[in-house]
Amino acid sequence: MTEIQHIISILFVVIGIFFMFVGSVGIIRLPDFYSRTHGISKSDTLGIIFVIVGLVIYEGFTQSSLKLLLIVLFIALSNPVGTHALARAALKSGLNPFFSDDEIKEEAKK
Amino acid sequence: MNKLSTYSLGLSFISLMIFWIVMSGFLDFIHLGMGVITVAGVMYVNYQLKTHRFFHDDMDDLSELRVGRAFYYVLWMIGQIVTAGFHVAGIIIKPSMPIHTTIVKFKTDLPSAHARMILGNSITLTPGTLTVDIDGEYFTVHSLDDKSYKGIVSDKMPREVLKLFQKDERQVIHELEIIKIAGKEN
Repeated sequence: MTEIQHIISILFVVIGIFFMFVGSVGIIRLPDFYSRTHGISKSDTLGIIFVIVGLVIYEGFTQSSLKLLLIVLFIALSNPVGTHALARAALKSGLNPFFSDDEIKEEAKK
Repeated sequence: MNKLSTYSLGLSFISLMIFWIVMSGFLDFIHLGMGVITVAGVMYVNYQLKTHRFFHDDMDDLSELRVGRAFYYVLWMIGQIVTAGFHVAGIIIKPSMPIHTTIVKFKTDLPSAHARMILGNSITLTPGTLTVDIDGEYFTVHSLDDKSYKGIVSDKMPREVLKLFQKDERQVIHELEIIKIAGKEN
């Protein structure tokens, strides 16, 4: 039983680390502020949630796992608010989003 | 200033008490008594904040929420987040990186400010879409590629949010506008 539990929890933690890695790659690769916000907030949140769910499965049903589930809940509540505040502040201060069709047009002109 | 109903006060007391028990882990009389005193203090400090109305259609409790529907919504949302997460991860990791950044603007027909808050948070929580601005009933959403905003444009997610509060189904999204080329705004 514990063997299967360990395997599943390791699987979840590895998937979470993969999402965090993809988020970090996204910050470097994506072109502008708004799409970078996608990269960092989404992949990171999903990564953290997967890692914590993995730890919950490792822990079993105890008080610590309930506390970990509360952390998941608070991340899921606070992350969209923070992301929205950042994106809204950027839009209000006049930062225009980058559109990929513009780039295609510019390349066609050249 | 409006008064809080006993339902709302009871709900916040029970949820704060559950939070206290999960945090402390002791179930004897002294610890529970300290919890009751602390929860009462927190509720007293937050009373003015809870009675203040930020929007004209604010709700003071969750009596309009359909609880069974809310559980289904949370599970459905987790499924959406995971599938969209793998989709976005695939886009970022591909060497060609096929992104088509798009701004989607639309007007919503939802019953309260809470419903709009749930929709905005759900859109931001789903990978690939990001609520940039909510102005009254008008949403501005930034999307990473064409597949990401399909769920919003096809009215699926807004309808799920509407079902949380009302039984009848109707078209939620109006005045849809999809911007793909710069220069259309500002």
